[in-house]
Amino acid sequence: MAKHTHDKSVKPSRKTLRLTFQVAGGEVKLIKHRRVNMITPPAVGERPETGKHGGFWMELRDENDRGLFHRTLLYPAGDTVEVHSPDGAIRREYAPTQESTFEVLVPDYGDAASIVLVGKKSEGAHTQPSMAAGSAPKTRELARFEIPEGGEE
Amino acid sequence: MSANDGRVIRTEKIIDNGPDSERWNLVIIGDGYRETELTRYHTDAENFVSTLRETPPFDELFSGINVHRIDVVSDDSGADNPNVTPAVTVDTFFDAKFWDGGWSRVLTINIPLALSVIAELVPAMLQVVCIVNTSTYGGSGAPNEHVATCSTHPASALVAIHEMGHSAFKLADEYPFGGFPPPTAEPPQPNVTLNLDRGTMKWRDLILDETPIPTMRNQDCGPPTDVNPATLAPDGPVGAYEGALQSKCNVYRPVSSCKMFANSSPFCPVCSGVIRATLAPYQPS
Repeated sequence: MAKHTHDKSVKPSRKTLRLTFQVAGGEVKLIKHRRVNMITPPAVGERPETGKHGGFWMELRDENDRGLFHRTLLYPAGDTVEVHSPDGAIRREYAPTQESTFEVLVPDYGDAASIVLVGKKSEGAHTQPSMAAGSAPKTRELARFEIPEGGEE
Repeated sequence: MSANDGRVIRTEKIIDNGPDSERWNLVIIGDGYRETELTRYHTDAENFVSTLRETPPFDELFSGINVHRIDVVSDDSGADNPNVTPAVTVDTFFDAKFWDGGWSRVLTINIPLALSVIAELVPAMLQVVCIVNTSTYGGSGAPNEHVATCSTHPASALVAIHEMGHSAFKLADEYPFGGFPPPTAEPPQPNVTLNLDRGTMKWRDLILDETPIPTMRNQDCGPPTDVNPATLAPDGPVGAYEGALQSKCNVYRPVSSCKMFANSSPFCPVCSGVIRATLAPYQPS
């Protein structure tokens, strides 16, 4: 899998930035951050491209807005729930919520300037993501945050 | 039903394969265990670790994994359950509860509280599994918060492992159930696709030349293939099987049944590759 596996030529970062975001009232806020001495989980898979790929992801960008790293997100609005059965079957259902949080682990690169949320704008803060995907044409930048300082463990 | 309903006792590193800064750190917490039930909790935690260790590809990757067990005692035993008569309401540290109605198998905890406790005790945490002291089947996942929840029911550990597929390895659901419309653009996850070009598909290197693409189409989705979905073997060849991301048509998964399709299946070669690649930096040199 030429582009599917982790590029081992990229040395993993040994410093990780743990970022916690809150989704509420149609807004996404960075509410907490912490710098941790640990290896950052690599981003596995193809780097998604804005406008080409669907779904949601976060991109770490440098001061020239070049992408340094990406992390895929699954249902960041937190408005779905998986229902499992003892026989192994699974289904996912829409579960409305007024507020949710999500966490993103990215390398704590010195040249990172911002982190960008890319996805499709929903009609509301917690519009069913897959339903929104059917109506919105392309992914785009939804929010941008400066890399916070401090927070060392 | 909160942190006032119990206390944190201690943290023990039950699998120690090296410094936390170098390894992939799994944290196990328990809810609904009274102090007199901690021995049972330790056994439940060991059972979960055994199940995970025996699940390929984790069996070949465990030397890169540390497991931390946090002992938390609750005032009461079990979890809230509105689906029995009379309804059960208990006071537990992380507020474990079953949802009601059609979601009676969804078992959740107070995730912000869990993460705040763990942040102080194991700051290098990469995945949390909360075991709830109830034998009723259930579980859930918080895919972007690195938390999975399961009960002590024998099949519930598989719920947590599926949910780890989302939270730790960013894998997509491969089942078509849910009735959501298919995505209109290529999903960013490595194990689902809209692309049927065998030269550019995400998992093209795992597809044999003789495997047809698409390998299987669902009824009413398009021209049928020669494959009858009812006869598909879970360990059949990697290809493009229609139905994933809760959609029946026009989105494809790599095999007939992976653990991201059904908990009882093994991880498919594509998902196993993602897990191996994610855990590679944590392996001892």
